[in-house]
Amino acid sequence: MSTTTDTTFAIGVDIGGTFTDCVLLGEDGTIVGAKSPTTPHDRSVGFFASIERAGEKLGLDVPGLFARTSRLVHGTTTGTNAIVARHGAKVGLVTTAGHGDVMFLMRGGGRTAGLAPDEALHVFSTAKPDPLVPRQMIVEVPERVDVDGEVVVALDEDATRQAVRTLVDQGVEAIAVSLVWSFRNPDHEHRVRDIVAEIAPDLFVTCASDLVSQLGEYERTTTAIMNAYIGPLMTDYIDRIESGARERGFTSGVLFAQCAGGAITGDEARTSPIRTVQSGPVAGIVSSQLLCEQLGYPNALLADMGGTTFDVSVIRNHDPLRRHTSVFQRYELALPMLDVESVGAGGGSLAWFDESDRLNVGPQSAGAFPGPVCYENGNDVATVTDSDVALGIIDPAAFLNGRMKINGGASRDALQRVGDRLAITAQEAAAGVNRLVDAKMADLIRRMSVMRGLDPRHFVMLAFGGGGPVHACAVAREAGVKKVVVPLPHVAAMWLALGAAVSDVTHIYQTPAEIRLPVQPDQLNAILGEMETRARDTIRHEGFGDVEPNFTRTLRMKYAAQVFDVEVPLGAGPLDDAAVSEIAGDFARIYDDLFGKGSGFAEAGVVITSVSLQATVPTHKPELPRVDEASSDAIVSRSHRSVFWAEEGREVDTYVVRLDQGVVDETITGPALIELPDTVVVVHPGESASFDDRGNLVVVISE
Amino acid sequence: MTVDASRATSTSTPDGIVRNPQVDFSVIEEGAWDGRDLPYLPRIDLDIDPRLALNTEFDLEVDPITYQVLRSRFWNMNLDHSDTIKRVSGSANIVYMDDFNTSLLTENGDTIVCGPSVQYFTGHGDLAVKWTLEHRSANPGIEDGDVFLQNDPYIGTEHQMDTMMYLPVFWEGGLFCWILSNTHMGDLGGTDPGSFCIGATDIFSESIPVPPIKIVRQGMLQDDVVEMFVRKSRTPEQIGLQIRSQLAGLRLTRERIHEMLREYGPRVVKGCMRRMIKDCSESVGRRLEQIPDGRWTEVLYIGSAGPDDKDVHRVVTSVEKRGDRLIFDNEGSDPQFYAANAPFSAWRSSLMCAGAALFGYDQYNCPAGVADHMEFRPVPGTMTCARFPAAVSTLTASIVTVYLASQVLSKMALSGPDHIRRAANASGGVSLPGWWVAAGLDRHGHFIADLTGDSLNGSIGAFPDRDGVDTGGAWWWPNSNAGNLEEWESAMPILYLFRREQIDSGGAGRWRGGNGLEIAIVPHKTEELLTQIVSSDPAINTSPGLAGGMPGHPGNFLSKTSSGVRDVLGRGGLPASRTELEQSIGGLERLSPKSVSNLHTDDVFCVEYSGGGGYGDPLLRHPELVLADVEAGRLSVEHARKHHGVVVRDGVLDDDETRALRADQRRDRLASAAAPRVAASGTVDTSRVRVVADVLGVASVDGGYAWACSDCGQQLGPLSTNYKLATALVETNPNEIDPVAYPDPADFCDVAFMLRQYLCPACGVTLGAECCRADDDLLHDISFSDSGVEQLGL
Repeated sequence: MSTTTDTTFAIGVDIGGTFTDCVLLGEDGTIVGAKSPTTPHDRSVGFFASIERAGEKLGLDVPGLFARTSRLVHGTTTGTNAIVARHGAKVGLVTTAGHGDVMFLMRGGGRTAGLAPDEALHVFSTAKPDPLVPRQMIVEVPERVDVDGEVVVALDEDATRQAVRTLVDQGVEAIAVSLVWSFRNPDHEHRVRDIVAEIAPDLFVTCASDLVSQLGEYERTTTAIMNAYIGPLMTDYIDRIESGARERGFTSGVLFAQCAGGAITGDEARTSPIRTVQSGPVAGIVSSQLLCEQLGYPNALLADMGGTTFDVSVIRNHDPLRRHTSVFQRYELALPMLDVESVGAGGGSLAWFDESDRLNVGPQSAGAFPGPVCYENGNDVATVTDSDVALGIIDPAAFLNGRMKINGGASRDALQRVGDRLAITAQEAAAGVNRLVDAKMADLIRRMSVMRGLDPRHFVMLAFGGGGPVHACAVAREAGVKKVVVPLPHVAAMWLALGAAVSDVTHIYQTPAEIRLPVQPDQLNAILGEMETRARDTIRHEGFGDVEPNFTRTLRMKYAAQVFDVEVPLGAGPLDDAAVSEIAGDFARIYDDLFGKGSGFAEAGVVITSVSLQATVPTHKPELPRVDEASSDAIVSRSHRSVFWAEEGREVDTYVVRLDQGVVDETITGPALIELPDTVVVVHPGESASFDDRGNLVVVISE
Repeated sequence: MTVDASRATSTSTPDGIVRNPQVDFSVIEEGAWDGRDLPYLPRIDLDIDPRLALNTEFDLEVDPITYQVLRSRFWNMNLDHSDTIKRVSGSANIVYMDDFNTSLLTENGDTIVCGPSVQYFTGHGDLAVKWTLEHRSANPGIEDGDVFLQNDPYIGTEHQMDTMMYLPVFWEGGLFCWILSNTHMGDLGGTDPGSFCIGATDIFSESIPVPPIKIVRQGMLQDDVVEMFVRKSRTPEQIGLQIRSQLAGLRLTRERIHEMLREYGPRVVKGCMRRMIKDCSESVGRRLEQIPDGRWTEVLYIGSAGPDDKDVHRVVTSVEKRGDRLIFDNEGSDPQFYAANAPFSAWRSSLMCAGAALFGYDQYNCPAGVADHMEFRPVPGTMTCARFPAAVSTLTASIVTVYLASQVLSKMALSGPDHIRRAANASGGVSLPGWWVAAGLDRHGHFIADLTGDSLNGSIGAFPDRDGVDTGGAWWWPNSNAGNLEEWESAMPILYLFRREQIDSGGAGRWRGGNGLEIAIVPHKTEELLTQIVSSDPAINTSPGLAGGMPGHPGNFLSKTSSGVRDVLGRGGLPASRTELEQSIGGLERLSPKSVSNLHTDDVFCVEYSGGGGYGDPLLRHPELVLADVEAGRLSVEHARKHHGVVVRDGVLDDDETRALRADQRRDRLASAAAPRVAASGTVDTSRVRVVADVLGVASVDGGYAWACSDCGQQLGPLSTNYKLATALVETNPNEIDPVAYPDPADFCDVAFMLRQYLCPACGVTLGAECCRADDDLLHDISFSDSGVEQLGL
């Protein structure tokens, strides 16, 4: 591999369960990737090992590489893992007297939050999740602020000191402070934080209002608690990454991918580690956004099928859809986040029979261990992967590029057992399992598109993950999508690391409001101006100098008598009367688009509920390379094998293109299989596939 | 089509065509039962005008995969239908509270799938569609492109505000199926804003019900009909929007059904619908067959059902189980009274939704398959089966029937095997004791009249193998949302002093009922705030336990005027619970369940919402579980001692003292109990006692079968008698047991209301418990028929 001698690099590193991936992205478009085993005892070891391996491919040692690195961005699941596995810090919560139960109440919906709609009907098996903070670790302090941010009861500082001491005496490792109406007036929260610092200067302490500026004490408290929960371990982790980078000669600050898209500095990640949660999948959206931008696809459905879940997100008009709250581990978090929805459908999803002897697939999964029957690790219930094997789609000898030995006969036996119960053949049963899982995935695609006012016919589907390409075309056809793109097969395995590498430093500010239309321009200009000044200060403080950030300004608005709010974009620069007068019309149009024409109840008036500012430090985005240069080194073999096609109801001798490297200049018409290093693209009868000039495999489902 | 001959005698439909008539007209009052004078009860052969072509053909032998794909698609399109209503309506009632439901029905009105929103709506849609087929097919006719609207409780809905819209889907000229939604619309007129007309003595003082009327005729929304309907309302625009939301949902779903019909053809699609009914019916049947045959009864009481009412009214549901068949009656229910009544369809719907939760929870909510095992024998003119023109708007008995239904079926399930038993659930939920509406000027000077979502925090009663869920919502309202207090303080001029789980409010038992919620508010930044309570008297407890478990705290409304709380706040104090509040401003006064108060800024208004009932004798609760509750702040040390006989000192469990205390408590109970009315003698080996309600059991004895205590083996009389006759009875005003957990029934009712606990006369364990009027006979609430005795396998 060669590169321009003086090119500088952006480095992206993503740590997954098994491998740590590193991508070097040169300003000239060079992309180099490397993998290194993840090191769970200390993930920073694998982090630097992956960078070392990538550098080796360019003949650079780490100091040499770092000398030419403009930025280093890390997507980490350390925080997510700690919350999921419940091995975070012992957290104490300081809250308003009379309101210490907010995390137990969970707004009355905690028993079913995060369950699939049909699971909520199984009353006897529903319960609230285990509390993140037990009642003994919750202290209530006398203080009260009202809806307008006015102090009704002053903070009792003596009582607060005493309360904090009881927490410290119980050995808490972090403290979350979340008071009623703190986003309207954060003084009491900040005073509590100072008191904590007096008593226990080294304790990790977080104020809800510093993380979330929106109504809802439950969501703010969840966010603050989760932040505190992972605070100590993330501080430690970030320290190790930063000092390791410094020791190896990296002079700038390491950046961390965040869940709203973009990156944050190490300092911000230390105070707000919750922003790194779910940043992994989000980095994939960022890569996809870049790819779609450069390929000219304004609208894309991103479909990622792993072992247990199928995750979908949406890019609309080049912009990923966002959400402001989401259920995470059955608790409601309030954080701006790119919107990813999941359904329990993956390669490990189990085929099982219910009380009425009906075949179902998932959401229970055999996961990676014991995994599908063909792994022979103790599971004997057929999975989706077993079905793919039994149909002949997955060649047992070539599974994961031959890295893993699997037993195809075991898969077929498991499907035979399914078939016996339904009085059909093993292959028919396998086709049935796939049809059920494909239908489930298509349902999610429809929910993410049609039910949000989006027409899937105007979207391409980008397929990721080990199972994505295998099932994408069937899912696309069922959901009405016309084109499937398997992005850059030679980069796909490092997609998340690439997303980290291209993530810009992003800050999101939100000012809660309660402004009824009509609004005066000055009122909005004042709010926006204040946030823009804060953004410039922060960015300067972070060491980016006087670079002018890119500002994206939006309002959240709703009809006064209705519940849903929508985001309404604002143009750049100071707003005048003309700009402000357009706001109402823009809002009505967006509301109609999303919720259907005539669904707004305008008579009750329109309210602005918050003003948001996203500030991004822009960086140069290199063009992704064209592949014609690389196509000469394609490693390809062509063969035929017998595959069962449900459309035909029989086995068909099927064309198989095996591609270990590069691309081929060939239109492959279905039925056919294209075997790539980590997955198989299934091209059904009537479909055709070819590579585009960037090396993406494009399958045309219908014209 | 092959039909399994072995199932020929069962109630389950082998082909998805429901043949169970659900009503035997020869055993109920004679009359038209057409929804005019008497409520509507459909006959199995509907009287449909022959000019209406029905598309009835179907193919049951659909391949199993296609069946599953379509079944899941029905479920999902019905969820999308719900989402569409939420998006277009955008009202808090619908979006937060989920106060609506959507469903799909066969051409003849059998509901194949119902959404996971409010479950007590599940048994109304079929009645509305069947009535429409019988009474509208000739005139004005049912045609492609039509949509009907109806909210007549005597045909099928909870009360007038729950308004249905439903659309017949036609295919190839025949009526193929129906799509239906039922939403709580808000104000539809009547004497009181919001249309809960507490003082109504007949339906003419309430929102006038609308029997099925065509609101869309061949695709065109009928402006005249819409205007006539919204004219009743104080908020016509909002009602108009709700109509649009329901229409949008119906049309989207029709498109989805048409897509499916184009792809698979009508025979396959209908085949899947019929098979969903068949599967659900067979699954429910299999579960029912594992429970011994017998009869179970549950009685609940409603105190203060109307203005100035000091009476305690009795509502009853009994179930007789034969094989896989359930026969329900409401005999013994008191006469209809004020607006507190349940229409027949509410009583039936309650039983269907409780039946689904217990026996059909894994069938995507298919009400037709559940009802296929049910027969109803309503006694009209009662609070559980109102006769026209009784008023029904306040929902009081309608909601109580939901708890009745769950209790009576749970009692029955307790005799079944473990996997059936575990679904049983002591009472608990939302809307007990009721709710309160606040009206006044907000801080911007706008008039508001609204209610908070607090009651939706709810609670779940105890199960036979685990505790209930603290503030766990309601079992029959899976996805409701009580909101943040910041939302309510934005919407209304109030300031919460506290909003927390109320310690000790779950019913004590071997398994504890979930704790409920307590709140207190003061008016804030307003001159005055009008509060109106819409409730029956919570002291007349409607949160009973199961199998000897104690009732949950039934809720309470309290206040104190010129309380001095503003001074307390000014001095920097913030009372954080009812206990702390009473310590700082003195005792609160109970408010009557129909009171209207004008609150000023120094007046405190406090509401306690109900906790769930407990399961089994509280003295049988594992002491470690009691300790864990104390540690977690769910239970006080005093409550642990008093109700569970568990001694916790300085956070440590004292095993020896606990053992001694529990022995004392059993002894004391027996000492205070009345002697058994009928002395039963003899014991059996406890290992031979077949348990049918935690400790109460049945055993084979010389000369037949007897009730027995499974704790000590004491016999409790022949199985043909009421076991309670042989128990030692403790009868107490619940308020004397615990003045906070159980408010005094004597405050607002003239009828003595007691808690009865039936003890084993030998060992003192509690075998059963119930609340009742002091002059009621001992409730005979469990018996087994000869076939049931055989099934018990003694």
